[in-house]
Order: sequence, then C-alpha cells, then structure tokens
Amino acid sequence: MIELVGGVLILLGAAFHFSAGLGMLRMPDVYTRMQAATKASTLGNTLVLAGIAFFHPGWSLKLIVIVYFVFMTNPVSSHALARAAHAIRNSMGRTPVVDALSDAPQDRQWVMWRILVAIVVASFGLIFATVAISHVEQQSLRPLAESYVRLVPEALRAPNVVTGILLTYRAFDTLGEVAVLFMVAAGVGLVLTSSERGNDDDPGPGRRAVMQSSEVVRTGAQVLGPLTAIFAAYIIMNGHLSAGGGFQGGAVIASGIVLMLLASPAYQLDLEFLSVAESAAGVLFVVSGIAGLLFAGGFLDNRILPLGDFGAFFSAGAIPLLSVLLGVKVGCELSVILDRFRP
Amino acid sequence: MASNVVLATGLALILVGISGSLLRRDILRIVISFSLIGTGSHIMIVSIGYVKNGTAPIVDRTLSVADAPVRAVDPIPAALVVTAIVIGMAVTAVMLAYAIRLYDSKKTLSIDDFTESKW
Amino acid sequence: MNGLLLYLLCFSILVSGILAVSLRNLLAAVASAGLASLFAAVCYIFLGAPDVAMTEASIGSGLSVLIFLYAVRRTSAARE
Repeated sequence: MIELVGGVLILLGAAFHFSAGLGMLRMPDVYTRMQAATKASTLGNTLVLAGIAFFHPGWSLKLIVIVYFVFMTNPVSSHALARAAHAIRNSMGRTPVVDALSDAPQDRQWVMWRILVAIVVASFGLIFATVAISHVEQQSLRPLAESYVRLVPEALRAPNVVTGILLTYRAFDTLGEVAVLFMVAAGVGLVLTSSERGNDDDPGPGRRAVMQSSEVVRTGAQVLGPLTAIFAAYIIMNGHLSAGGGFQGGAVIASGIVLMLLASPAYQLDLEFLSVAESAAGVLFVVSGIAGLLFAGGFLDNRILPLGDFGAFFSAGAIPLLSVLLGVKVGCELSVILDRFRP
Repeated sequence: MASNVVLATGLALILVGISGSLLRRDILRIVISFSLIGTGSHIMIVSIGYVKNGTAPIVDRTLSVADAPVRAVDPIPAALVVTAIVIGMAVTAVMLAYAIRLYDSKKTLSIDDFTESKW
Repeated sequence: MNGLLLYLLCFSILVSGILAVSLRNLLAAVASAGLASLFAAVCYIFLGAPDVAMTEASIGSGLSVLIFLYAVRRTSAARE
C-alpha cells in the first residue's frame, strides 16, 4: 500500500520532469525556457524524492536534506542566469508581458517617489500659505521706496522712476546683469559649437538641407523688420520718459533679428559685427560709469550730461545714453544666444 | 486684496513648477518646469510691491511730482524683476544648451538613462 | 469689474501652468508656458508695473518660447 503511494508520487514527479523538458523545447525565448526548466524540475525532483522516501523510510533524513539543497540551488541559479541573460540583452519573445528589469522605474518605486514628491510639495505649500495669508497690502510706500520716488524726478530729472533706479541708483546691478548675459552667450557658444551642428562655411546640399521659408514669412519679415527696428529704437529712447528702457528695447531688437533669421533660414548672422557692437557698448557703459566717477557724484552717476528740462527728450543726464548702450548690448547678446540654437 | 490674490497665484505657480520638475523624466519638460518656477517667483515679487489703489511710478500728466510719493506703487521690486526676467531667460538658454548636448551624446532625453558621471 | 478680471487672469495663469506641466504633446506644453507668461504680463499692468509687463511679454512669451522650439527641433529625432 505504501509502495503504491510512493510509486504514484514518483510517477507524478516524472510527469513534471517531462513537462519541464517539453517546455525547454517549445518556449519562445530564454526567460520562459528557464522558467519552465526550473519550476517544473524542482517540483519534479521533490516529488520523486518523496516517493523514494516511501520505499526506504530509513533514508528520510538524507532525502529531506537533498530536497532542501534542491530548493536552495535550483531557483537561485536560474534567477542568476536570467539576470545575466537580461544583462547581455537577450531579446524577449514576441509578446512580453512585463519587463521587470527594464530601465523604467518599477511600479512600486514610482509610487513611493510620488508620495515623497507629494509630501515635499505639501510642505512647501504650507509655508507658502502662511506667507500668502500673512501678507498685508501696503497702504503707503515704505521709506526707501518713497525716497526713490521722490528723488528720481527731483535729482535725476527722469520721469520714469524704475528706469532711474535701474540706470543710476542701482546701475551696478545692471552692469552685473550685462556681464551675466555675456557669460551666458560665451557659455552657450562653447557648449553648442562642439555639437553636431558644425559651423561649415559652405553647407553642402545633403547635410544642411534647410527648407526655404514660405513667401508669406519672407514678405512679412521684409515689412516688419524695419518696423521692429523703429519700434525698438522708440522703446529704448523713451525709457526715461515713459514705460520702456534698455532691456525691453533689447528684447525687441533680438526679436527683430530672429524674425529675419526665420525668414531666410540660410542666412548667417554676422557674428563678428555683433560681437564688436556688444563689446563697444559694454566698454562705453563702463567708460561712462568712470566718467561719472571723475566728473560727477560717483560711479555711473548720470549727471555727466546736462540734466535738461523735465520730460524733454534729451534730459535726465546720461540716462538716455545708458539706455541706448544697454539696449544695444542686450539685443546683441540675445540674438547671439538665439543664433547658436538654430538647427 | 488684489495683491493677495496675485501673490497666491505666484506661489501656486511655484508649487506647480516644483512638482513638475520632480515628477517628469524628460529633460525638456524639467526645463519648462524651472521656467514656470521663475515666472511664479517674478509674479510673487511684483505683487509684494503693490500699494493699495496705487498707480505706476511714472511721473506724467496723471501723476504729478508732488503726488508721486503718495500714490505710486513700489518701484524697487519692479526694477529687480526686470533684471531677473532677462537673467532667467539666459539661464533657461544654458539649460537647454546642455540638454541638446546631452541628447547629442546619448540620443535620449530621459534623465533615467544618464546614470554615469562621465560625459 | 476690475477685481473680476484680475481673478480671471490669475485663474488662467494657474491653468496654463498646470497644463504646461501635464500635457503630453511637448509643443503644446511649451506654448502653455508662454501663455502663462503672457497672462502674467497683463497681471503686471494691473499691479502698476508697465516696465515689467513689457519685459515679460517680450522675453517670457516671445524669446523664451522661441528658444524652447529650437531646442525641441534639435532633439526631435528621439520622438515620434
């Protein structure tokens, strides 16, 4: 009777071994083959050894030890083999369901990351909420702002207070900002020149097959280009009288230059002229600052030029001159930066 | 009241930018999120300078010289933000230049693929 | 009326920001970021800072979007 049970168990084990062999022959790729070989043969081994235990009860302890070893080594080695096969990029079968070792983050990791991000954003949100709630709208100007608003029309004779601050009282910050723009233009040129675009002088027909832009864009650019230049000059020159100034005008100059670049894609910007122009503008900015040191109250003081009537076109000392220089510099920098990005 | 609403909007935009920069895997989308953080902080700074029923600090027909210290809006945050916007765009340009360079070296833009420290 | 317009603007800024982060199409996300800058420029006018409004309109929704489009163009072989 006991031998019958043992015999049935050995037969079952043999059936599982057979299915393992069949799976190794018929499965599509290495991972599924390995799974068939491992799982079925481990179970088959266990069943056969259990059946033998029924025939020879004295060997039970040894058989249990053998089963334990089979359980430890078979799955672990096949796991290591599968990882090695994945690492040398063995391809999966035609219909893989999930690639758990692929480079995309696993689902569980992704959920943990999202929870962490939610906690971070919520804590920032709490801090911001306290800032937003405790903010009280100003009823009157703070002392420093009030002194600026009083001083700029009186001492500098400039109607636009923001331009007066930007180009006289805090003109050193403007100089620093101009230096930062220069560094960025140089840095972008360094990073992007060694990339695939290249700077060949005669673009071959195969390598740089640029599309000719449409006629609408070309005609529009021909009409809008001079208009943009006049508009930029207007914004720059009105910096001290009304809203405007060097930064805004420089951005409009760069937009106009980019419009011309878009209209004729094969057009190469004259980078030498631009670099000469921006260097000259920067040098003149610093020179007028030093002139302020020599002839007037301090570095970049605007009283080196006559202050003139309030609200007249040529008034407020050196502020229109500084606006022009700032506009030229910012425009050249921004258009050089944009030109480096062109494909 | 007006400046409170705009301040809250600026802060919320900063939050949107932070969450976008942490959750996205594509480098260009991360740069877009940084640009949003910049825009949000500029809105926040300008909204702090608002004076109740104030007007722009430009002396012209509507705002006389004597009236200006009473009715004008704080000009200092506006001056700082003008500089900050230009520099923010320059920093975005540097980030995009690096993104292009990274793409040229590995032909992929997902930051999960950049696991080595060398170029 | 003024207040209602300001609320609408702030809501539009937030919606454009959220869209810029979550849209699938990259070009649409870039355009949303430019749209947020444009609405912010109008907000600056309401807050009494016309210089900032001009700068933000020209740089934030003009040159910045342009630079993004150039960058998308130069890294576009990986997508689609």
